[in-house]
Amino acid sequence: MFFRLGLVNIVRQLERSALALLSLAIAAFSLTHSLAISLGYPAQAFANYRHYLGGDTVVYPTRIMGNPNQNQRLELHRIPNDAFSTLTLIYPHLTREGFLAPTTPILRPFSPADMQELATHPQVRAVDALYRMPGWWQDNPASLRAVPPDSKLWQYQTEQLSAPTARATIPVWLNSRQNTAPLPPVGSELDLRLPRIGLTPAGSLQYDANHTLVQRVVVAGYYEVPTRVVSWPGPDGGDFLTEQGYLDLNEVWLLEDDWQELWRLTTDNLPPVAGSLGLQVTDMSILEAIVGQLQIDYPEWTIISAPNLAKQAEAESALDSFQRAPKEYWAGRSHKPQHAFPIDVSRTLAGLIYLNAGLLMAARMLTGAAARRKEIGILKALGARRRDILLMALTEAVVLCLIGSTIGFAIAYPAALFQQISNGLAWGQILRLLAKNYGIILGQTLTIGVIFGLLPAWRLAKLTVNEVLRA
Amino acid sequence: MKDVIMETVQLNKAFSLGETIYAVNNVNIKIERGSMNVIIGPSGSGKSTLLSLLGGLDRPMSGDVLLEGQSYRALSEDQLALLRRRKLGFVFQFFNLIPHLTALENVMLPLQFINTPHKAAKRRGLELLERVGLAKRSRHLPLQLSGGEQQRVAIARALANRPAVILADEPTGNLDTKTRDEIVALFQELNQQEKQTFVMVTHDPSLSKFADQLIVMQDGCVVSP
Repeated sequence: MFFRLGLVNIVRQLERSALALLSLAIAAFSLTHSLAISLGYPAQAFANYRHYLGGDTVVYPTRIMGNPNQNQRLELHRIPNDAFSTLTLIYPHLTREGFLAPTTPILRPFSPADMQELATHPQVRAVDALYRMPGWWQDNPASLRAVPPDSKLWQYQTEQLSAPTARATIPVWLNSRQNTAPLPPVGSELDLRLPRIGLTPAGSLQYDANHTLVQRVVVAGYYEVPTRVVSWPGPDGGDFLTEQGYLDLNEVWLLEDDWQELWRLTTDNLPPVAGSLGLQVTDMSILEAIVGQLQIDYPEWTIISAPNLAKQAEAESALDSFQRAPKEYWAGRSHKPQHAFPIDVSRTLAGLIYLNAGLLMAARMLTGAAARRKEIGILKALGARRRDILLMALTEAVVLCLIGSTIGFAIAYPAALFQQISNGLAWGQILRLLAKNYGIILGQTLTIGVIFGLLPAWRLAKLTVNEVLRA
Repeated sequence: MKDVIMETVQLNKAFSLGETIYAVNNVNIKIERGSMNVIIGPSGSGKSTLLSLLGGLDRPMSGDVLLEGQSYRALSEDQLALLRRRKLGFVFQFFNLIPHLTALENVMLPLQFINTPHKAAKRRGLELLERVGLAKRSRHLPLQLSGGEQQRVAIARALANRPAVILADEPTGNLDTKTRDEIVALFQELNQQEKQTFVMVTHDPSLSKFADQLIVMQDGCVVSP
């Protein structure tokens, strides 16, 4: 009965209902749009980080939280901070506090079959292995990284030898922004010390720092990888000052063949094993959807998008540092860094539109308050309880929210659907995303609509019949 | 022994307006089943307040109202609402119909409150509109009806759930003479033919004429009988 009265009220106040409906639909539209595009990034987003991490998304050969699809026993593990992979650099708590993982080997190297399988995935354009090993130059701990000749990392070279080195001496490139040791000049020679590397019976890599071999190399050049830009207010309230941040890790780049030669020497001819894989995806605009799909397809690995790794690295200040910017502006979690693409303000905008829609819902209940008060008074005189009045108002709010959010979603979502289908995303994933997004939109709209729709009704329902009918 | 359907026991209601004013002061009345009861008195004598207390629309300061032996005192707001829903009918001076519902829908309202199936409620609603002479106006909205017609719809609505008592507050106070006579005749007919119990607040002597019990109020007190 009161449900029906609520429906009648929607139709009766058609103009005001239409206004509230429209505002809810616009809010749902803007949030749908925001959610749909938040699955991905512009093509050039986080480009530097993507080059550095070796792909648009990175696959690590361990499942940090265990495989949810298998009934596995989990144990607390700690990854040694051995510069084998960026995982521990970006997530230092994995080393400090540990993590839950299955009892199976936690750093099982990727096999060629793994790489081949990933390369056939419909949303993966290319798979690159990222090879690293630990070492020291002049007693400074460093990560030795193989850089393929066609890698985009070479664009970050700043100085290099004018003449090619003799092939007898291995060339290396040093990070000019690393801040642990004075840089040897370009062209000078230095000794790299490498630990013996072997495999445990369980298949994990292990490093023996007590037995090392020394290799003479030549400094062929420097590089610097830009990360983020930090701004801070100038002295005495002057203009904002800015500083470009750079990767400050002591990472030594080697040509791929040279790295493999060193690996061969230090492992007694073990085949090279990748610490992580970098995947190039077909479409950055649905990156997170692709990552979600990959994680479902390969539950035994940890798969994280490069932008998410970058954000985490920035939150931890794990990869870079600054010379002039005050530390609280780059190491503090509350300060957002700037990137060379527009900041996504769509969520904020959607929030404001929702607030506006909520106010219109409240206004709809309050406009013509005298008539509504009288109606509520009559209903109470005839035997309606307070909860009946609230049910009536709730019906109005819920129905308006259902229709409004569905209209907004139905208008905005086809673009995202088209994008997902044309990128060959699996139907299961498309349906999961659709259900998830519609759930979020509906939930958000209902929350706003019900709160703003019910509050005025709650106040009116508290009035006594006499207060209303004699007013 | 007379069949008392409703009674008040030392009913008091006071308002604090600088000083305490008793709108209803120690009122003891008994309403017999099937009787026509008319409350009269000058403005401000407490008639409408007494009616509100009888209808459970307001709470007394002390004393009690009993309807078919059921005390109001122990009832919560929700229980009072359910009691109004099942046992009381109201007719107001200004009709108080829901403006966006048709005449028939207004009459069906109390029946739907007690979960009467739609078909049965519609049948009963049409019967009642027929009874008050408005069968042909069942689909009209209140604003499309005259004042007399609106009051007839309100009376039909009050009768819908076969209430023990109908409480009417100045039911003819907003009507012209001709219409007033028609409404008075309708009340009389319902009382005499269907033994419907009425308690009315009125200034209208034509209604007082038919009263089985005339309750005269002054300064919150019942001065007659």
